[in-house]
Amino acid sequence: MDTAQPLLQKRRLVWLAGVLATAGVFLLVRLAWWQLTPRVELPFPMESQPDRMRAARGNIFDATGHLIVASTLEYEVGVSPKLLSEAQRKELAPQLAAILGRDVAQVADILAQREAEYMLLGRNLPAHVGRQIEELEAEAFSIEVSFRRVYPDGSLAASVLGFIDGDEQGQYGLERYYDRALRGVDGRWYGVRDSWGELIMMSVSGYQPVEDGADLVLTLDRNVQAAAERILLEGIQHNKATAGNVLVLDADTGAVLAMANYPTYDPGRYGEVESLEHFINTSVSALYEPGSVLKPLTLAAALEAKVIRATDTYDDRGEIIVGEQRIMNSDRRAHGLTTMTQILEKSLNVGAAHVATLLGPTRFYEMMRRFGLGEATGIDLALEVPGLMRVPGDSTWHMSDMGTNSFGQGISVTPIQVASAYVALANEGMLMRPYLVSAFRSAKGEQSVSPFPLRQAVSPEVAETVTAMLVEALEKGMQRAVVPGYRFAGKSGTAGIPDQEGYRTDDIIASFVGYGPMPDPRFVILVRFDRPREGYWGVEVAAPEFSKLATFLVDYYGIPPGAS
Amino acid sequence: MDPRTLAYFGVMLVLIWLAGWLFLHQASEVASYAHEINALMQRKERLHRELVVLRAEVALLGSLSRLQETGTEWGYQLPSASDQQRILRLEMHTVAAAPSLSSHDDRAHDAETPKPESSPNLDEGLWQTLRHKGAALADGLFAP
Repeated sequence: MDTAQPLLQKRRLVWLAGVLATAGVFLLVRLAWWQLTPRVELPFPMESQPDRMRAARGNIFDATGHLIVASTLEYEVGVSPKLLSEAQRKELAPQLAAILGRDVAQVADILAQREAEYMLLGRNLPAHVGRQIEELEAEAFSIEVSFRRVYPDGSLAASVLGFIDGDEQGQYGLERYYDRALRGVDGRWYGVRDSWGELIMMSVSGYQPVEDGADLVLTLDRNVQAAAERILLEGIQHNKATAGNVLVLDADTGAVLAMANYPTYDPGRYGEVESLEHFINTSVSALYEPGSVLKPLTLAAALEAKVIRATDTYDDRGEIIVGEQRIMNSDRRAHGLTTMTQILEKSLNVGAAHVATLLGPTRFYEMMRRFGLGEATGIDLALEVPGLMRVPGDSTWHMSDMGTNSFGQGISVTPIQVASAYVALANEGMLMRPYLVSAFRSAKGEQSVSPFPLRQAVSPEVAETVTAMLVEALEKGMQRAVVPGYRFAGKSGTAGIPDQEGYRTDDIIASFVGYGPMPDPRFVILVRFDRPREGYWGVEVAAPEFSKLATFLVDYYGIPPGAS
Repeated sequence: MDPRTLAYFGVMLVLIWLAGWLFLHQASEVASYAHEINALMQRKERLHRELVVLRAEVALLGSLSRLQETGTEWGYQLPSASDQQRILRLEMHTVAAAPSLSSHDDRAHDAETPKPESSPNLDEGLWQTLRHKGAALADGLFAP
């Protein structure tokens, strides 16, 4: 027998064993690889498709914990009639008609389009309708879910809140300022699709959890806001004004309790506004000349610089020349020996200009800056403007500007700047940054926002002195702002509106700013009306509305008379 | 073929079969877990959407206009700004003059009310009794 045969067989067996052993080793190594290195991405890049879970936009709560802006779902439902059998068409038509509230024949017509790839069944459908269609579990349906904003209180605080446009971008107000925080992060996960089209996640790193947008908790109280808007609207109608603002700030912290603007709009129907100007929050984005409400700041500046004392007097002759410009009192009268308090009580332009000349331009404008005029307050709202205040050194500044600026003309401010300056007077001279959001809430927890002290505008003693002067001035010269049983400090303003030819005497801005109740002020209230046709002076037009709102506030917060 | 070689190949085949079985078992387990994860993710998404919708419904139910309508139905009315009937008013009254300390009935400022002489507390110790007698004697001596 030939010995080569067994040898050949042995060699073949050895080769076969080697191949099988190699295959076995390869399988064992691969198995160990999957078991011991779970973070390794599996090599299916050509088939990996991300699936997305939409993040809900953050909600907005008021200070009392009520939702004033929420998100809900909308469905867009389509069908692919091509994928339906005759039996399915007959079964689904009446079901869909009942769910959608449409005619059965109409729905049957849509389903009968046998060659159509896609037919729309409904758009902007509410969540309960979309869920019912999802439960039908027909493969031919195409369901798109999107989020929509809901405003339970309609136009309440519209100019503060803003709205979401068709591209889900925040526009105006808080929606724009906090767009990134509200937006959230969509969840995503990567994997492969099996033969049924189901996504299978194949690794831990292929999953990114959805993060809903942060909820905002506001300092705004919806009840105070509603009262402010109601009183503003009543004032607009009564005085036949074209526009107006009402602001309520916390006198200690600068937190905004209410910010009402007129005209306004419904953010749920932002496409139906008459004019794009309605979107503008005039409390922070529109300038006006404030008039006599700035006189207390002029006096505070002079007291701080010690160029006057509260007990000083001057001889009011009815006019004064400042920088070659003649300045007269609004009543065109001379008032003789006049005290500092009477400058406020009788709203004397000559007195204010006289005090400003004692200060000098450098100290005058430095103090105005310390009160925040001429710069943005930094409030957390979109599109705030800084205001216009010409100062020495500007090419257009003239000494006469100081004379007119001393009583609030020739200087442009926003309502929030004026209210914030009065917060400083109410708050022992400390200028605070106004703010609207007191906390952020997310799945990670709650993050509170603290009040922002900016700087000491005037000393506590000066603030107290000016406050006492304003209380006396209000009670003697502005009785329409009085709140029975309480003491408030306040000043009215009646400012001409400038045009190219000078100041128009028939168009004015009437306002009143005040704070209280004494001795520990809780609120600063600003009321402003543009171009009132019934009434003229701030003390006639705005002071009564101030009194109404202050009465509401002391009642709402349960502040007894004579205490706070 | 000798038995040793056969045994060798038999063991090799068993090992390869085992490896193959393990591989298929693991792969199918991964796939089944992935399907389960997929189902849980879809359920999570549905619950998430339901939460969003419910929150919006709660907001609508708590709207100011609905509260006002319900309040009106129940007979409540918003007060006008000039309505002062509900404002808390404090009335200050002159406090009556405090009675003198020698008054027989004065006990206002003494936390430990001294017992009247006529009714000594027999349960008190000797020290308390002496103290009370001393106080009564002093009141009698220094009375205006």
